[in-house]
Amino acid sequence: MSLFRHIRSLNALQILRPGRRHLSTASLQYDQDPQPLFTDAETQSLLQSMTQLQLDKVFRKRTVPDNSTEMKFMTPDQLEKEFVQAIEKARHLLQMPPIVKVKVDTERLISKDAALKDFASTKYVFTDITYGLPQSERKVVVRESDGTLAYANLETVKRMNQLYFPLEGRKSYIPRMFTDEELLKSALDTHKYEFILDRATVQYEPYEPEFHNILSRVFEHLNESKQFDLLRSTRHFGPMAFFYAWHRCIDDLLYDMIRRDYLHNAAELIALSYKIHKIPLDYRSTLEQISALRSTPAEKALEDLRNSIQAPEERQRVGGIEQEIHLAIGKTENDFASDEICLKFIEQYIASEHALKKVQLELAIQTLKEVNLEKLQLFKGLKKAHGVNVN
Amino acid sequence: MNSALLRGFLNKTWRTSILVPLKTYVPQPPVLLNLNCSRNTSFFNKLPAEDIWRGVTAVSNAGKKRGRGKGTGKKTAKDLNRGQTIGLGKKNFVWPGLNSPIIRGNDLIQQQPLAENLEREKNIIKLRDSMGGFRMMKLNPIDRGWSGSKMPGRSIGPPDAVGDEEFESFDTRVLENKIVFIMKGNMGRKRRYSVLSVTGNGNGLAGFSVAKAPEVRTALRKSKNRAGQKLINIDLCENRTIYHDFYTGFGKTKIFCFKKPEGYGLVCHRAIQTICKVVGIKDLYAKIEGSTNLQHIVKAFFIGLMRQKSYQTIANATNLHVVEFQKATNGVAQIQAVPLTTEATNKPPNRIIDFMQYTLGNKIVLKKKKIAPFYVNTKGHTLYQIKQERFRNQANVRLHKLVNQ
Amino acid sequence: MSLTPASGIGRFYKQSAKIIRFVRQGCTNRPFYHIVVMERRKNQHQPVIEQVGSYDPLPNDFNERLVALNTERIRFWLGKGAHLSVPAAELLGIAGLLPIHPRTYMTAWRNRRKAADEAQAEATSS
Repeated sequence: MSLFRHIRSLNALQILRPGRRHLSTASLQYDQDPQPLFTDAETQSLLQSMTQLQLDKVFRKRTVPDNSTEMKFMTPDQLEKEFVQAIEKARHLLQMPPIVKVKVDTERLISKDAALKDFASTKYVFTDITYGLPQSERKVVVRESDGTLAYANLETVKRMNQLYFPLEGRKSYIPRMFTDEELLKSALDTHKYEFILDRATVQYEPYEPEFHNILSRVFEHLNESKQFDLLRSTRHFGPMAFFYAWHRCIDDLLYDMIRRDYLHNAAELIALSYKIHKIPLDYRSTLEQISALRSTPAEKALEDLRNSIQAPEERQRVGGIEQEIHLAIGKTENDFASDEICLKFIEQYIASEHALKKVQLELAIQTLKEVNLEKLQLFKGLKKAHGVNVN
Repeated sequence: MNSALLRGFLNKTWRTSILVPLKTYVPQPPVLLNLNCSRNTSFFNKLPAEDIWRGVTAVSNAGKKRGRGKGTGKKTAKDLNRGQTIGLGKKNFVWPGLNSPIIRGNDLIQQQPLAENLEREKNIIKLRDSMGGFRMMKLNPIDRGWSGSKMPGRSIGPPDAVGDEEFESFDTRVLENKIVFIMKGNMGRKRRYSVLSVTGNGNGLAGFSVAKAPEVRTALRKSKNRAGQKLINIDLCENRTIYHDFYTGFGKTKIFCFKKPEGYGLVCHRAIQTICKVVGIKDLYAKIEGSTNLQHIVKAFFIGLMRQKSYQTIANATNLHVVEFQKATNGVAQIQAVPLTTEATNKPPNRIIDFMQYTLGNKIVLKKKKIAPFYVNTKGHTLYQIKQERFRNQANVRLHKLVNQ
Repeated sequence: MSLTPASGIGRFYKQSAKIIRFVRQGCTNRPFYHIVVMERRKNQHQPVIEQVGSYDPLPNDFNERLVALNTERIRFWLGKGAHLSVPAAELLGIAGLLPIHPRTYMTAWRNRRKAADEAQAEATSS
C-alpha cells in the first residue's frame, strides 16, 4: 500500500512541472515555411535517392523481445514476391519525418461568462474521447475559474492526448536526455545521432519548436563530427540533407559523398540546394541525364536481391564475363558515364560562389578522379582481354 | 597415597575435595559411584602401541582376499606422540636437566612452574583429527559436477599429449562413473570402475569413450585419452547451434533436438548439456523420450549431430530455396541456400513441404492445447486478479524510478 | 470493488429509464468518478450499460480537474432519451455541451459573495 503511494508520488514528480524549462534554443531555425519545398515530389525523389536503400542496414539485427527464427522452403516465384515485400517494408521504414513550420499557439475563445466567475477554485479540462478520432482532431476545451471557455493550448492538448490515448514510446514526462544538457551532450559526443533523432521523433510532433531545436542541435553537431554515414539509409538522412541545403552548409556532406564515391548523390545535393535557394543554374538536365543512366535505390536493391539467388555458375552462364568484370570493379559503363556528368556538375558548383570549402572539395575531386581513371583503365583492359565489346 | 584418595572420596563434599591441589600429580580417574571399579592398569598400559593399533586396524585373511581395508574405509594408525614434547605435560614446569640446562651462566636453575597452556589438549586433539587418511579437499562450487562431490559433470582436463600433438583448448567432462562387478572363477566378484567421458574443444571437435579400470584415476585417464583418439568433427551453425531440428534414437532412447536462437541456452538433459558445452553448442532444446540410459543418450546425440545436413545439401535434394526469416531483422527473408538446378523449380511442389517436418524426418511436433488451471473461473481467483491489477505495472514503474531518479 | 469495462456488461430493457450519472470509484478520501449510462433504478455499483467518460475531482499538478467525455455517445444516449443526474448535467454545462446549469450559477454567486465577505472582514480587521 505504502509502496503504491510512494510510486505515485514519484510519478507525479516526473511529469513536467510548469517550472522545468526545455533546453536552450539552437541557432539554426527555418525562417520560412519549409513544408511546401520539402513535400515537393522532386525534392522527395532527390532525398530518397540520397538516402540510398542499403538493405543490410535497414534490416540489421536489433534486440527484440522475441528473436526466434523460421526456416522455409520457397520457389523462385515466392521468393520474388518476398523480395518485393521486403523492398516495400524498407520503403516504409525509410519514411522521412516531415519538416513543417513551427505551429504557433492561437487563443481560441468559445464563450465568456462573467456570471460564472469563481464557480470552482481550479480550472476544468474537458477532453473529447470519441472513438476513432486522430490526435490532431481531438477537441480539448478548458473552462477557467473565471468562467471563460476556450480551446486548450497545444501543450495541454498534447498532454491530454498522451494521457487518454498514449502513444507507444512517448513519455508523459520529458525524457532526461532532452532536459539535461550533460546527457544530450554525452549522447552527441558518442555519436548516437540515430537514437536521439528516433526518440525525438517519438516524443515530439514535427510542428513543435522543441523538435526543431533538437534537430538543429543534432545536425550542427553532426556537421562538426562528419559522421554522416551513421545516418545513411535511415529515415533521418533526408531531413538532414534538406536542413544542410536550406542553411547553406552542404560542403561537409558533399565532401563525405565524394570521398565515398557517391557522385550522383553529391550532384543531387547540389541540385537540391539550387532548387531551395532558387539559384538560376540549370540542374534539371543534369538530373535527367543521371537518372537515365542509373536506377533508383529501390530498383537497385531489388536487382541485388535477385542476383543473390543466382548461383555463381548460373551467373556466368547468363551474364557472362561482363557481369564478372562489373562485379570485380564495382562499376558498369553507365556508372562511369554518370560519374563524368556528375563531376562536371560538381566542378561547376565548386567554381561558383556558393561553395565555401573549395580547397577541400577540389582535393577530394582530384583524388577521386585519379582513382576513377585507374578503375576505368582496368575496366577497359579487362574487357579488351576477354574480348567483350568496349564502347 | 591411596588413603588420601579414599579420604577424598569418602568425604561428603567430594566434589570440592578433588579440586584441592595435591602435592604429587596423578591423573584423576573419573568419579565412580562404585568405588571398587577403578583400576590403574589394564591392557591399555601393558601392551605396546603397535599391538593396540593392530587390534583396531587389522583385516582378516578372507577380508584381504575380498579387497577389504584397501579403499576409503581403511582405518589408519595414528602416532599419538605427535604434538607432545618430553617435559611438558598438562602442567608446564621447568625441569632442569630435562627441558632446560642445569646451569645457565653462573646460576643454578630451579624447578619452576611456567604459565599454564590451556590450549594444549585442544591442539593435540586437532592434530590427531587432521592426521586421518585421504580426505576430500573442499570443492569449489564452480568445479562441482552435477551433484555434490561426485564425478559426473566434473572436468578432468585435456587428454594427454600424443607425441608432438598437444590437445590445446580441449576439455574433458565425466558423464558417468560407476562401479561394475564381474564374477571371476578364483576370487568371485571383481570390482572395476567404468567411466564414460566426453572431450571437446568447444569448436566442433568432440569425442566420447567408455573405459574400465580397477582404480578410479586410471579409469578416468584411460577414458579421457581414448576419447581424444576418437574425435568427430561436427558442423555448427554460427558456431553456437545446430543447423536444423532433428530426431535421433539409439536403443529405446529417442531424442528430439530443436535449433534455437541466440541467447536461448541449453534446455536439455544434463548429459546433453555437458556434451553441448564441450562441443560448443550454446543454444539448444532437446527432449528425450523413452529410456534415459546415459550411454544411449550420448550415442544417439552424436549420431544426430553427425547426420546433420548443411543447407546446401537440403536445397539440392529438394530443389527449393532454403530461406530464413528472423524476427530480429524485422522478418525479412534471408536466403541460406540456393539449389544447383533451377530449371524445374518454378513448378509448385506436389505437396506442401514444411522445413521442420522435412528435417525431423516427417515427424510433427505435438502442439498441446493449453488448458487453464482449475481455479481460473472461481470467485476467489477473480477477486485475486482484481487485487493484482493494482500492481500490474509496478515493475515498469520501478524501472522508470531507477532510470529517472 | 469491481472493475467495470467501458463497454458495460449491464443488462437493460429496451424501454427502461436510462440515466447518465456518476459512479464513485477510487478509495477512501480519494474519489474518482466514471461518467456512465445505466438504468436509472439500479445501484451505482451494478453493471453499467456503457461508460461514457471520467471525472477526477482532485486537481492535478497543473491545478486542473480532468474530465473525459465521449461526446458522440453522450449525444446518442441523450437522443435516446436518457436522463441526466444533476452533477452530470452541471459538468456537461461547464464543458459547453449543454447550457450551464442554474446550480453552477448559484454556486458561483455564493462563492463570490463569500470571497467578498471575507475580503471585507479582513479589510475591517486590519
